[in-house]
Amino acid sequence: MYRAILPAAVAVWLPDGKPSSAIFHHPKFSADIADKTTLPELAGRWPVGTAFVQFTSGVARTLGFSAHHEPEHGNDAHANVYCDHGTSDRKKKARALAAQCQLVHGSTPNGRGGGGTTTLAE
Amino acid sequence: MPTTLETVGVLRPTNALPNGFAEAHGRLASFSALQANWDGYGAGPIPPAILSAVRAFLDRLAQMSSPPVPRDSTFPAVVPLSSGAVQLEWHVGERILELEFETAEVIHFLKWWPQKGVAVEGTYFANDLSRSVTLLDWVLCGHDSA
Repeated sequence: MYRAILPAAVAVWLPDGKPSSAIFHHPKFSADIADKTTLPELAGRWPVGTAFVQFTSGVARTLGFSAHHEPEHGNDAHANVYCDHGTSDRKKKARALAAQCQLVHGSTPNGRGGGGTTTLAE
Repeated sequence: MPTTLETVGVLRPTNALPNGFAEAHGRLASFSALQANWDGYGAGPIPPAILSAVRAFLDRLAQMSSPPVPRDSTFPAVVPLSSGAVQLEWHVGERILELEFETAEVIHFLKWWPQKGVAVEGTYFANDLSRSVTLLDWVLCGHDSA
């Protein structure tokens, strides 16, 4: 799955190229299913400078997240990822998923990035 | 005994900030310019009260002598959250400390070192400087009394 990081957020959510847990600090967040899209297609739908991080739905599931295919606005690849954010463990879950994801497209303020090509994950 | 700068460290001149903290201040200042929906997912602007609280927190830490904040201290990443909170992150080797200002008064922390089985989170009042110092001592120096 891919999660888009818009340009204003790239500057703060990918410090030194390391994904911050801030990317996943949401009880519900949008992602795109890799099997239903491509990175070039995704990049074409978002503003120039958008970065993408990748994680598998299987890993997300083991960490307490739940991904659901929910197309919206004509985007058949769209999914919502849900997390029952209890106040006692929401930071652990977000940090754990950040540790498991990787930057696959775009560059950070320091010029580090995923070159835009990668093996598509679940 | 109440926690004061005198009890947790010696005041240092304000022109001798640890290296990373001056940069952290600069990044924090830039957050006031973040517009609504800056993350593309509906985030609001960062509340000025939280920015002020983080700024004051950094100032208090920066005025302490080492430990736990030596001059060559690891730069804390300063990260806004979509919720309007602001998070300070230290990454030191495999250890990670996150101090999230949920509000101007409350810090939600995470100690993270999964290789050693450390994954602890909780909340405390932002004015409890001794608690922050203990957590920083853990991430910067590896001392585990937090």
